[in-house]
Amino acid sequence: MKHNCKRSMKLMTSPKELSFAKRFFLKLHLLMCDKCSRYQAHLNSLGDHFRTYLKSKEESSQEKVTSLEDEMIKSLSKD
Amino acid sequence: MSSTHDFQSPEFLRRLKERDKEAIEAVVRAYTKQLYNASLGLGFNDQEAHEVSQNTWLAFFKSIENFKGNSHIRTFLFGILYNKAREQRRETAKVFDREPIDTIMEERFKDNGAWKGEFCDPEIFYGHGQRLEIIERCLSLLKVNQRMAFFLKEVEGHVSEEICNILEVSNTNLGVLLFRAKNKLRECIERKVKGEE
Repeated sequence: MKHNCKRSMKLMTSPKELSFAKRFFLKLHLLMCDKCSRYQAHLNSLGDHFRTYLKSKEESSQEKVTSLEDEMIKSLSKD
Repeated sequence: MSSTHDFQSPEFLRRLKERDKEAIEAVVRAYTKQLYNASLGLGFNDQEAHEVSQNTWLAFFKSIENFKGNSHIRTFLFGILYNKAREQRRETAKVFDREPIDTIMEERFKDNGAWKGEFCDPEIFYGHGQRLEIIERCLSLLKVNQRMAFFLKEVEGHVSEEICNILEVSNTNLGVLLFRAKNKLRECIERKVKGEE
């Protein structure tokens, strides 16, 4: 039997808006395939992990951003 | 402040080109935080993020004379930021050279197209004590163009067309960048969660 996990994996990482037929295929496959569902859950969590990481970095950066803004406005303005 | 200005209007662009203080202040206040945070997202430390953001603004005002307003100012700025980040990391913009992750993903499947192995439960990582350190280490495996594509898509929520304009790549190349970024990250995180490295 030909499995569709490889094709599904490619669709799950695609940056494009999927066509109705491709979305339908993927949904159907995900309903039947635990491994692909878990792979998709992994992909979905990556954005969360990246945002959490960035948030931890950004928390201490607000003062630095304001000071950079002031510096840039002063150096770029004509007067 | 940004809400009171139409950054896309010819009038606003004219004022920017004439170095009008109010226009400069509006645009700098609107986008510096995004540039700085994007630099952090690209793996730069605070000092480097300051430098990359500063260089981005200087290059922006150097090239504003030639900016026709065909794309959004934000797209133009992120494009400059991306080039400055690549310069800083001394990376080229090549997309198509084969990378180890391509082979790893090929080997993840049996001949009949089914997955070979098992995946760990993604929930395990959410409660992992070293989550941030692991993410940082795994993100460092990504090239600037992969990290930028991933950042713009996942954090900034830009549409594919805008990301392609910023990175100056085709939609197919963007697909390759995101495929590699996501799979490199996923593989790395899973290995670390399983304690394989």
